Amino acid sequence: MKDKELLTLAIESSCDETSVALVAGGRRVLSNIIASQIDVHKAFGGVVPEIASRHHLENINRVTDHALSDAGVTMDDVDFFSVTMGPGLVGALLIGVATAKAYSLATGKPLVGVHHIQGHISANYIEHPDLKPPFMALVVSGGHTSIVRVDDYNSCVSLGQTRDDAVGEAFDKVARVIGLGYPGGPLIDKLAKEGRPDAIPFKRVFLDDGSLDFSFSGIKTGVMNYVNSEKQAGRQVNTADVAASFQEAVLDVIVEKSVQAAIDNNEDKLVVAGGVAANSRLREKLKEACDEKGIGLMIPSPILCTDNAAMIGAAGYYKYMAGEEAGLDLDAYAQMAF
Amino acid sequence: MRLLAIETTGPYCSAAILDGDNIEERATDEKLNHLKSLSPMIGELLALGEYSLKDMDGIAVSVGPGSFTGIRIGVSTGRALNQAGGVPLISVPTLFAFGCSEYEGNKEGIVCPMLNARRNQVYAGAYRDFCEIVPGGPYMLDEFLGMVIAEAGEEEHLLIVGDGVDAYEEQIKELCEGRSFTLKRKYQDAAGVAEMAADMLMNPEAFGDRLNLSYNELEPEYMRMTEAEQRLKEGTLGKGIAGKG
Ligand SMILES: [Zn+2]
Repeated sequence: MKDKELLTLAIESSCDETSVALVAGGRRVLSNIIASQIDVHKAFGGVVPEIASRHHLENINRVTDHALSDAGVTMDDVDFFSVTMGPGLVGALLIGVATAKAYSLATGKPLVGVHHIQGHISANYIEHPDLKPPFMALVVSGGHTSIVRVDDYNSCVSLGQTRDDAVGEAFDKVARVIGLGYPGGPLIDKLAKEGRPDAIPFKRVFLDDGSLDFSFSGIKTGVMNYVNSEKQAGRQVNTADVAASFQEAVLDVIVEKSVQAAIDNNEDKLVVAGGVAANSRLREKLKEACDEKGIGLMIPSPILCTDNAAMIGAAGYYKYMAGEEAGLDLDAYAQMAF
Repeated sequence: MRLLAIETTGPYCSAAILDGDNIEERATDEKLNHLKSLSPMIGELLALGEYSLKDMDGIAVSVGPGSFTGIRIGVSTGRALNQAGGVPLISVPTLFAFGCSEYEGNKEGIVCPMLNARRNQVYAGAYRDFCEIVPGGPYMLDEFLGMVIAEAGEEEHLLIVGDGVDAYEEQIKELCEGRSFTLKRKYQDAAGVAEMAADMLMNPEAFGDRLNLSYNELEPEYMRMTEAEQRLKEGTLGKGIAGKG
């Protein structure tokens, strides 16, 4: 019989999903319950922090019960707790952090604080059982757009990030401009399939030569200007073309920079994570580019791309194994470097 | 009787353990440090008395009103302690506890705990001899003091206490002009919550629905909807909504 795998109860509450998971040995997911608040925030056209915080508090203990029963374990079986400590909405994060700390205090079991982006990257350890560092990672979500060199489980270097909007934020804003509603990512992805990606030449923003940073605030203005000038000229705006052209312009930059980063750093694997990794056109384009350059591409299934606690459990496991326990004075952080 | 008490609704956060007649309290001396400090303070108090959490007969949580974030830190901590440790919860109304604990040290007149709810609003209540004469709730400052003065005897002294005093000192002085009153700079604390909880346990007929709760029954008492919901209701929703974080 093999050694007992360490079992973690992991909590994620950094934005608008309340999630609790039970993960064994860092890679085997026994349960991964996600209570999404998307419907709650739709009426407001975006995530309202105070409402998100209230819902996290409403949900979290029930989500824990659900996760435990789905996994067929009890709190007694848990070896340690993992929790997202940042970055994210502080009011949202603190529900998870306060809860995890109190679980740890009540049971005397250790606690690990996890960086949310590290969590997204670690979703790939669950999906790809043989994946080991080093590799290059692209993290694309509503809150983040980063290229990260993962040297080891607990050691990574951010090589580039957005200087303004995150890519998911740009999708949300453009969706609003063309009247699609919220959340914009999946809606644009869907509509873009009916449009021509080369219909409107939106500017690809690459910034300085060789930079791995991104900027997406300009393209939103570009879309707005285009829509306004079409309307002024009395022409019907083809929203499918706008969606497809906008998406293509953004993804061209993301794909080119992440593949270039892998090549420049001699990494033969590119790992993708974050909510926007569910975008079907991004998956297509990355596949094409990586195949051409002989780079292995790994993307988790959509459920592990969204914010979820299983990924936090995976990341937490490797932190725990490295002895990086948190104290009861663990805090929540809106901003956090690696 | 042994109780663990948590107070996180005000500018400072505190925890206390009541054991018979004895109360040991820990408080932060730094504002807005609640999340970081609360669990370590509880851990320290348990260690000090060589208790385990299971030695407690109840966990008393001040559930609001007050700072929304503060309320959530206290309630989520209390709930999770119950969920993982099994000790029953006591839902303590913040203003009532604050009012009674101030009356205890004063024993005269009317005590008005008053918390700053911004834009000339307060969460406040008025208490005389451990009885509520103006129910704890959200009020406009002038509306609240008007109600208190209407209830109070002409010569009756008013003690106004809490961070509402910090925020509205000048307005309160104007509104109480000609009356006997004291403004006190003090904030709600866990010792007051512990004492209130002990009284509540002794009066189960009056407080039955606040006693012996499990984690899914302990509710925050914000007493106000969120600004975004308010604006949605009024049809003035527009700016100020954050994007996805
Ligand atoms: Zn995320």
